[in-house]
Amino acid sequence: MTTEAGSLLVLLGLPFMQRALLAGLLSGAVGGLLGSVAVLRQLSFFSDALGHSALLGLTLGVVLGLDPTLVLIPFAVLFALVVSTLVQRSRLPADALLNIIYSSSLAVAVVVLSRFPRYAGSLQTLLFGDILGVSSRDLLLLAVLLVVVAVVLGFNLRAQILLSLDEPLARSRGVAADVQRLLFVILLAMVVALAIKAVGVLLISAFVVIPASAARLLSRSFNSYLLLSSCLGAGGAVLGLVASAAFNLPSGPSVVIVQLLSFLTALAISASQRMNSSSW
Amino acid sequence: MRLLGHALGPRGELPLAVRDQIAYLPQLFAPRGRLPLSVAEFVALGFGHGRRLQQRAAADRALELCGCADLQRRLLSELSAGQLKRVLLAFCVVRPRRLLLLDEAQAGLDAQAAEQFHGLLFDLRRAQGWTVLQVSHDLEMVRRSCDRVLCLNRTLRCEGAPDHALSPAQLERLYGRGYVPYHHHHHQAQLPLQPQP
Repeated sequence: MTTEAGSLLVLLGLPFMQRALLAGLLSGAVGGLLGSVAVLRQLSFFSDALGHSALLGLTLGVVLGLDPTLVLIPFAVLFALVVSTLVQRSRLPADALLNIIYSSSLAVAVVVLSRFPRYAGSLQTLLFGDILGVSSRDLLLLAVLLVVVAVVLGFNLRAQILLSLDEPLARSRGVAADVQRLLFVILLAMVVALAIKAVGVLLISAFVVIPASAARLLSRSFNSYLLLSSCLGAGGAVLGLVASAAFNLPSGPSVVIVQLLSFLTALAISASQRMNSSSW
Repeated sequence: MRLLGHALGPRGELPLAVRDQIAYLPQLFAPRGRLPLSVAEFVALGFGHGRRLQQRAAADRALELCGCADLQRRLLSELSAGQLKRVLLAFCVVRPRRLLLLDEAQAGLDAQAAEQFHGLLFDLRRAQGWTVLQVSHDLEMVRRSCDRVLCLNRTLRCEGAPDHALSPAQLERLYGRGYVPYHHHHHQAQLPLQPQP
């Protein structure tokens, strides 16, 4: 065994690194699972806006002197509900409205944080995440969230698929479209709020969008799509963290680059499958 | 108002057991994006809650009934408009139904596919004993395949057997003197001018 490989194994064995790996596994799996529906419902930009705006919630925690994680969950849920209502009722295109909301939230948060010298320096950590600083309590919250998302999505999967397919058809089969829409937005907000410490404000939407997009290219059924999306999310996060430890790279961006590579691989496989089937 | 023997609520609600006996086939159904959903999975969604094996068995039966068992492994996004319409019919009838509501079921189909779809629908209607209530502008199809016609233009203008409701005198009353029958090669149809208010 080479010295480099040996020191990597030692590093991976350290408690903070094991917590980081577990946090990556959990947030990757939950992001992939929820992302599979978010992508179909064209909510990718919504999750991005939610991530950026979460900085305002973190700032609120700092200003009030409260634990930012505990402030962030109710803030993200409330914010998601208000924004989703605005998007439905506004005559502005959804992407323009979301852009106004998230860029203003980001600007206000950065200006307010700059008034608190103690926190101004930690802006980079908030923007890109600090998965190595994840605590045991964060891990427990992520694990509980994964279970909650899996159970709620499992019980409402039929309604969510029908709603993603065609709303009038879903309503005709008894789906309460508005309730299901709100339920999904609440789940998405909770995932963003909890995974943001590990992944950061700027990269959170990649956890939701990239694994699901890669899985969609390769799946021939909905069940395989859900499973593949979760596995790609979790696997990409773990591989990215190992790569960041091995090559001394920033952890969040390393995970996103690994997820991007998995997407490009899926794209190549899907293109070659299409070429093979058209040549027949 | 009563439907299948049950009174409708103030906002048109029906008890769940009655609602389950009714299926709705929308005018336009274009699955968004490239949803990775197989035909078998989609049809099983129409079954509602139940055991997985029970759902799959019902989906297999419905696909067989609608003549599209060979499509079950295909993705919904890969189907032609005619295939999609038959799969949608299988989705509607995956549970035993008594009433099928069709909103311009031939929309988006070419003349041949529309003819095939209606052939299938009316064979199934006879075999299964369904009541089919459909909205259509295809008067020739209505004349050939419906037992009873209601002509609506803001209000009920006339009703009865096709020979009576679609008689030249009634059509002139409905559409005015500009009414011109239109025929094409695949099947006979009439494309009237817009009805006069």
